[in-house]
Amino acid sequence: MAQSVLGNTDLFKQSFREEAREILVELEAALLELNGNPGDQELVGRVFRGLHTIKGSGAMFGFEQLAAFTHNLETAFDEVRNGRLAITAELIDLTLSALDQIRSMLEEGAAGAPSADPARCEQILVQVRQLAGQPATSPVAPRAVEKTPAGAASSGAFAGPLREWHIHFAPGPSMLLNGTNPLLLLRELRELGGLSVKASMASVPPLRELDPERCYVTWEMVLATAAGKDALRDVFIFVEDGCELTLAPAAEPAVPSIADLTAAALTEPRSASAGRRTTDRPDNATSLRVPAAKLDQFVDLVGELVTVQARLSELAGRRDDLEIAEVSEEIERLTSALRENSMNIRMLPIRATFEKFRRLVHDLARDLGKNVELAIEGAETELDKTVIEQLGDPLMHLIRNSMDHGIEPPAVRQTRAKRPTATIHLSARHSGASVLIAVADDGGGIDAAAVRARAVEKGLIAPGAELTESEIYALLFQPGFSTAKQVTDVSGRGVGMDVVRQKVDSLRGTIDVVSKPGAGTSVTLRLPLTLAIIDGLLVSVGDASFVLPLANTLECVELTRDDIARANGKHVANVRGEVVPYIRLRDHFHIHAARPDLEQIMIVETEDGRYGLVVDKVLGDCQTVIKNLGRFYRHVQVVSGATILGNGTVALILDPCRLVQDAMRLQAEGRRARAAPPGNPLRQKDQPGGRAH
Amino acid sequence: MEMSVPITMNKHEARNDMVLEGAVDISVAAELKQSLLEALGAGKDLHISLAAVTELDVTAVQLLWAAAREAKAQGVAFVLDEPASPALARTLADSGFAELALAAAGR
Repeated sequence: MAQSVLGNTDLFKQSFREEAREILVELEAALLELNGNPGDQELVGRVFRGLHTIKGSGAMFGFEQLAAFTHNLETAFDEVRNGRLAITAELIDLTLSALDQIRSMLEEGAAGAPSADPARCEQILVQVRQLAGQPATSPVAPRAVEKTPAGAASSGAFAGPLREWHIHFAPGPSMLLNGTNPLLLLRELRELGGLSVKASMASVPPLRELDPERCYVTWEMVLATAAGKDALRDVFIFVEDGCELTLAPAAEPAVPSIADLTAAALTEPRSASAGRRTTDRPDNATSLRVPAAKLDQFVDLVGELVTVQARLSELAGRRDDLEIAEVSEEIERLTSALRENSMNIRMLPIRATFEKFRRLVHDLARDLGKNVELAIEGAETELDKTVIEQLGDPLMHLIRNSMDHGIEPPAVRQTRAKRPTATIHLSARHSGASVLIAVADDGGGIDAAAVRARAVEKGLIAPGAELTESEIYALLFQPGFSTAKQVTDVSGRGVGMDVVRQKVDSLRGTIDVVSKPGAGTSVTLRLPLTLAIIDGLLVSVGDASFVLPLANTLECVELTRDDIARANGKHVANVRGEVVPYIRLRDHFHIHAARPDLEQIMIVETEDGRYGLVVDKVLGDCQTVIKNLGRFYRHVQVVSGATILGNGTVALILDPCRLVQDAMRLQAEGRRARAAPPGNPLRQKDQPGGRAH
Repeated sequence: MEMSVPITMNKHEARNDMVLEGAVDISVAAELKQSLLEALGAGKDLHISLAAVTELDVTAVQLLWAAAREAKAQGVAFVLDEPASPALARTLADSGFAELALAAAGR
């Protein structure tokens, strides 16, 4: 049993870490917002409550250093709340760096995590104390937090007369499971003043029906304290959701004064609902925290189920058995609902990723001496969690690039009659089965001539090459390309944009750049909604099967022997008067099987225009779960994955854009050296399909 | 069962003795409930010693309380030895449980 106790503690610690990370993100957002609105009391309240929650939960789960450090910050924001300390840029910057230290303390113990710097922590605290007008050497005992938990710090601030409060507290059903001990809350209340407690066992059910991990006890208390209602409420701050809590001043003044009523009316909605709900996790009782690995496993299983279901459907199709057909159809219906559902579970709003950049923009703007604000739009747009996870890096590089190269220094902006404060616009929206994520700035735009000159200098293009605007912008994403006249800390090393392209490529996305000299630049990433499932067309060549993404496929036309004869050996087809070059998958993949009289050309849309892919047969449409080929085949770019078909064989999922590029490259190489062996990566001994010979 | 469960039961002719030790909290609540149900299911008097208990959380208190009520309904004696730890006694009193413990012990 001792083991399971330990397990529980670790579990609680882990869930505290996760929760604290979220709170830190919110704190950061609130602080940055506060920077623009120093007078907003609601924001101050949010910061205070966030710090308080981190401190309280931290102490409860054994993060004592973290709790003690946070306690000092909380004290400072209590002063702000009480109007004794003003919000300044300095205080916000200090608090932001304090949050970084808290973050490090949080991860302490985790492998490879940077540990907090005690000297830096002390320095921050000294500066905060100086701002608060306290002597810098004021001994703030690190363990003070244990003796004076929540509210105690603020109790001294309320110099008002003692008041009696009636408190009714009924813990919610899940409170104990969250690791909260109600007895500790009572102890915290006791710190605020004289407390008399009466526990009520009225709701405890008969022994047999009692859920041993749920709290049935309710408490009635009378507290005599000088602390205000906020301080009382703060004690319950991180358990309030799902709990019943009433705080009422003792009935002693039978008729509450008008002043009391107005004060209550003014403060109540703010502290009780609006402000609090934003710091606390919403829908605490109706949403679950599930480890991502479990979710991945679930989706994997659903994928297997889809595969087996496809086999069942095929089997039912071959047998002339009405009963099996019926069951198979029913299972097909359920499976497709299950698949959609499981995909939905993986969809997350992009908000957290976007909000993270507020801090980056704030810090960079300060370092670069520019005024920049970040506008976020469409943060509620949902996309697959694997896509979201991979987006952080490319977006960071794009934003850094915009801030460093795009946005002009304030003086230059003034001469150009622009607003002194520049804007970076980060947005997301859905467009069919894709999501469009854009980073736009109102800076100087891209100097196409400079990019061109630089590309010539780097030998990327010939001096006289004729390039369209978008081709010139595409050069920016070449490895090692940078037009910056000087390499700064921020960007200019020519690494970032290359990373963006690689990441976007690996997500099967595309990049679109629009720029207007003097008015700004906008980079749009078009990404698929999900990486786990693909709508495709199943085609066969010989006895090998391939899946072509439906998104790229335009139409399918027949290719007869006569057509081939008419083209004089050239690989082009005439599609309603338009000449479309085609690639024979049979030749490209070296499949040695008899060629049927009638072949099919799948017309696909690629970055390089329309191309045809010649296959033997089109077997039908299919929605398939993408399996990765594994690390060994990672360099095989023409194949984006594999899927298992109903009959148990493997079909490779082709990437038409890459396939066309690969074919053009081979053709060019072939022209140069006929004798060289084909560099086709699919011609390896253990190819995954095993059938493409 | 698990060796480290701080619950020991000694069965006698006319009564069951249960000894609780160390920290009796939510991590052993399910076991405690099971033990109490077993002990009371026998229809014998129940004597519970808390002398070696260092910590008692709300789950343990409500289980003991429910067991006392159950014993009363069955007409068997339910005797609860007060904890020896003064710190624990104070926590219980501070949490508003003092009277309850006495009430349970009195039956």
